[in-house]
Amino acid sequence: MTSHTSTPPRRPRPGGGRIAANVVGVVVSVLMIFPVYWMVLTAFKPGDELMTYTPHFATLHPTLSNFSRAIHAPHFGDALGNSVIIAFSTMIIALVLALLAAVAIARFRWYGRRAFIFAILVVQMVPMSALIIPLYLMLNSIDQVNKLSGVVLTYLAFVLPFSIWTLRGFVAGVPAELEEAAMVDGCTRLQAFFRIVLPLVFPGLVATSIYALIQSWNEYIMAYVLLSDQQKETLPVWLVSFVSAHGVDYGALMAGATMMALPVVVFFAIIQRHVASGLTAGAVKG
Amino acid sequence: MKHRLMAAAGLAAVLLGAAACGNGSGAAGSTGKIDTKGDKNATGTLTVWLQVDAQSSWPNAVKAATTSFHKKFPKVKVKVSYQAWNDHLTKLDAALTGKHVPDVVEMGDTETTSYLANGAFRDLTDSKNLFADSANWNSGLAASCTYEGKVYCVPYYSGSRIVFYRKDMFAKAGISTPPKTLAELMTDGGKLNKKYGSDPKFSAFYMPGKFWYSAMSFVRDAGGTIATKKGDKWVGGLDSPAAIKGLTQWKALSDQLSKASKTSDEANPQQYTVMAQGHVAMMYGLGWEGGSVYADGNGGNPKLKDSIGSFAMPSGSGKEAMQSFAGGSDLAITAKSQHPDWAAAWTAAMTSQSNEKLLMKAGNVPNTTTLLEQAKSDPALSAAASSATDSWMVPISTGWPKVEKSSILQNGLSAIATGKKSVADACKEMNQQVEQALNGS
Amino acid sequence: MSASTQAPAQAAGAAPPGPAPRRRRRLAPKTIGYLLILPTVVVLAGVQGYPLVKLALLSVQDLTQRELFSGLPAPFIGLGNYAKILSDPEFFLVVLRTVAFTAANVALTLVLATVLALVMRAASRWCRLLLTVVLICVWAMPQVVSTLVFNWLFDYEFGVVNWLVGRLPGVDMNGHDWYANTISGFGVITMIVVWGAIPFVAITLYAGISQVPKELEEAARVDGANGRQIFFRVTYPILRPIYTIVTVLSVIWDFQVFNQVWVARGGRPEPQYQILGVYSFVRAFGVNEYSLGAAIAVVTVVLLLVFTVFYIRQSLRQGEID
Repeated sequence: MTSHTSTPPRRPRPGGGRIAANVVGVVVSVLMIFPVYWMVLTAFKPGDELMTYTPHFATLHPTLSNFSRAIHAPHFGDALGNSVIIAFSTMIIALVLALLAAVAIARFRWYGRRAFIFAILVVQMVPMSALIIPLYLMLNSIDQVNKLSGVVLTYLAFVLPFSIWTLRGFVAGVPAELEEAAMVDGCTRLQAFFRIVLPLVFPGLVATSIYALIQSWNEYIMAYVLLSDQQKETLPVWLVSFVSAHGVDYGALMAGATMMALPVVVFFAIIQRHVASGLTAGAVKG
Repeated sequence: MKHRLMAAAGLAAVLLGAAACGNGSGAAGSTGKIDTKGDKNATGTLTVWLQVDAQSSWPNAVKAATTSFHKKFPKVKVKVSYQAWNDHLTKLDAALTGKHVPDVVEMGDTETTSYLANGAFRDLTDSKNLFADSANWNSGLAASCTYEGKVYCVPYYSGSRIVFYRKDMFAKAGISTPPKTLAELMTDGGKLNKKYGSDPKFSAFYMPGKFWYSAMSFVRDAGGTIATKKGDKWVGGLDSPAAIKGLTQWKALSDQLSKASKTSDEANPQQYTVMAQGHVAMMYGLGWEGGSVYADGNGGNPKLKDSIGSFAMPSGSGKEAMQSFAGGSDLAITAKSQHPDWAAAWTAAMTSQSNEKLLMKAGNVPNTTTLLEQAKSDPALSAAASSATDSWMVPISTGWPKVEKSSILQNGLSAIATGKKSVADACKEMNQQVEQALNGS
Repeated sequence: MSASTQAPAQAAGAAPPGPAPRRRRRLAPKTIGYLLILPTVVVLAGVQGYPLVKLALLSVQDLTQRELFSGLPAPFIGLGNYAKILSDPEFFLVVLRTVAFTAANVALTLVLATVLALVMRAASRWCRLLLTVVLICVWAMPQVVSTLVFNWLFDYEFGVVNWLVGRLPGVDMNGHDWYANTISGFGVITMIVVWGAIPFVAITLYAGISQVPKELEEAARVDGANGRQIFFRVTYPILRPIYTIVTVLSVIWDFQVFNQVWVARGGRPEPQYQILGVYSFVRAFGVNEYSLGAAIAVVTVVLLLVFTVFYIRQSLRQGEID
């Protein structure tokens, strides 16, 4: 965050525009965050304030009992571990594969390129509900059912198309001349890629990684169908156990959901810093 | 179902290709005799899929069953995993195609038919005697396990709906004893309305417009049915005078005593959370819902702990009580299970008399009439027991899931409750749609 | 990043520029291209290719649970499943409803997300940070829970919205059912869908916008262009590839919305709330008609292709995906 050194044309038209933007920003934030606030608030509410005709918009008696009920529900630890393994493996593998493919599309000419672009688009159009059984049969035949790796494989197939498309846009956005100039200066193609293209593509990588992470962190139905051992279930599957035919344990559900959302937000807070530095490194000095 | 096994079977086999990756002998393993005597040296893992309710409401019964199972098969590991109601059939379908097959699965009793018909479960007709008191199984549940004269699963537990009421409100409105007939109930409701009617949220009897389990109980009470099988065709009964009479009574109750939404059902929001707010004097709920009204942490209201009572829903046609829908669960052994002996032994332990008593304590109706009769003498259970002696079941047809999934009854009832359609018109329409779904189009 | 520190070392490594004869031939660009996509192709062909072929086959068979459980081959019935769908008069209504629903949702999502991305760019640093955190929190909220919370907000008994609106003088919202009227019902559903879709689109667009050199916009401003002109003449053309992908994806997702409607209607959507995702569940997956479901899926893909092909062709013409 400290690398903002070059800011000569900082505020050409100060005041009005920025203030208006800030006001809009705050209003939108308040409106959009409300459901999230309601989730977190409910997680801290004592039982008698949960559901009331006159809603409690804050609580004077915050309690941790919902959290303790959620943490002590069976398999919380297992589910957390499994979700971390699945989501982060998916994210990292997807980033690498997608970046390679994006460069292939944006920088190289080869036969079947259009067909490839088209194919990864079509793949996204197939409704999930129709794919569950065929996917299960396929994973069953390669012995990937009831295994975390099978779930990672499935998620990869779901996040790769978007990741490739997005990164392709970002790679294409870097003028080829920049790379060529670097190569004239003596860089190899690989060096030029790492020094010129990668920093400029960084915002795209961040957007893609959040996408891949959140998709695989929150996915429910495939994880539920593919993993039959309770020790192997992921957080969304674990969370649904608070909804039974005997009603919903709202307090524990909201506490569980709050804990589940936390790692994603923390992860983002960490890479957020790199977005800023990545941006300045690329765009300003590039 | 059009099974056109055409001459193109060869072509089909080619087209199907890898789909036939099962062993192609789903039925082959399901013929041998089941033996639950036990084996001290048998090793391996028995996989059981129960619904999540067992985890949250009667974990002690599961534990007891496994303990008793281990007396017979001490070295066999029992792995119980708990399923969510929403998607468990998708998961089961997928699993049944592959190698990771659960040995014992719990099924909702309205979900079983297509599984029985399509060979998913093991035929237990000759092994019925392995299960406690199987001659006296609850009729509704037993029906849901029977297909074309053969038995494919074991009744696990049932539910029965009774009326939960606010004792304090009744007293203040001058009602000393709970109503014994539907007419009395309507009169009492009127008294409650008079006393509390100034509260715009007050419902003397909370009755959402899509609460089809209750509406169909009225139909049944008036002598009607949803449908009956004549020969190999289903004939709808919802346009009969009896059904129309029952639904007219239901609408009267909904109109005069309820301020519940006419376009929602009893689970959205959960009706006990509404009663917990203190503006409802009666609701028609399952055994566990009464306790949930004053439970802490799930939307209940602990302050109402001492003011909730219950009575059997009174009949409008002179019966002991209005009969409830037999909503419950069965336990089945999958046809592909490698260890039917273990599976049967565990199922028998889970549905033993002592275990069923644990389930009763959790607010369920037991799986046999023997236990039901015993329950009638227990004041805490008598209302539930007398509403379940002749409880009703949905038509046992592979077309039934279609009726539920397309919400034919709910939408028809909602039209009645809102007054968009007359009872007779809505009945005619529902009847036609039900017949079409049950007979396959 | 630390690009500057590495530069000298590596430049030195590549020191002798001209003389040294090429040790090995450079790979042809074509070959590099193939090598780069190879891992992706393996994953996609493996995980999705086979199931897709299977799906297409299923749609011309009659696979019931019997075949599924026993592994017996399913009978081939040709185009019977397709005939069944296309002869269902309700199907066309459902498709029309879905198209309208998708159009409204995609348009709203894109407009609002664009505004947000621009606001993020124009706002102060703290406000930008606030917005990103809000967007991530919204995005990170598990869908099971967010639909439940929205249900709660619009509940007719406990609805926070009913209570709030009821505070207004002269408004009685006691027991107001938002879903009783189809328009207001779809309004609420659209709100849930758009709310959930904005974070992804806004963050992606913002990532794109931050790639647009500020100098370009400054230059346009100096030339006297107003904010709208700058956006449409400078920013948007650069962002076009990203708009293409988020639009196409939003169309694909919104076309298949299921969960929000299903949960909002308590698992029992009325006929007027049947959009394609719900329709296919009610007709096929919820009742184990897998072949029919496969046929509906194939029809869905064809419909989506029709909708998107126009868009893609435009992109092709403009050389974005050449």
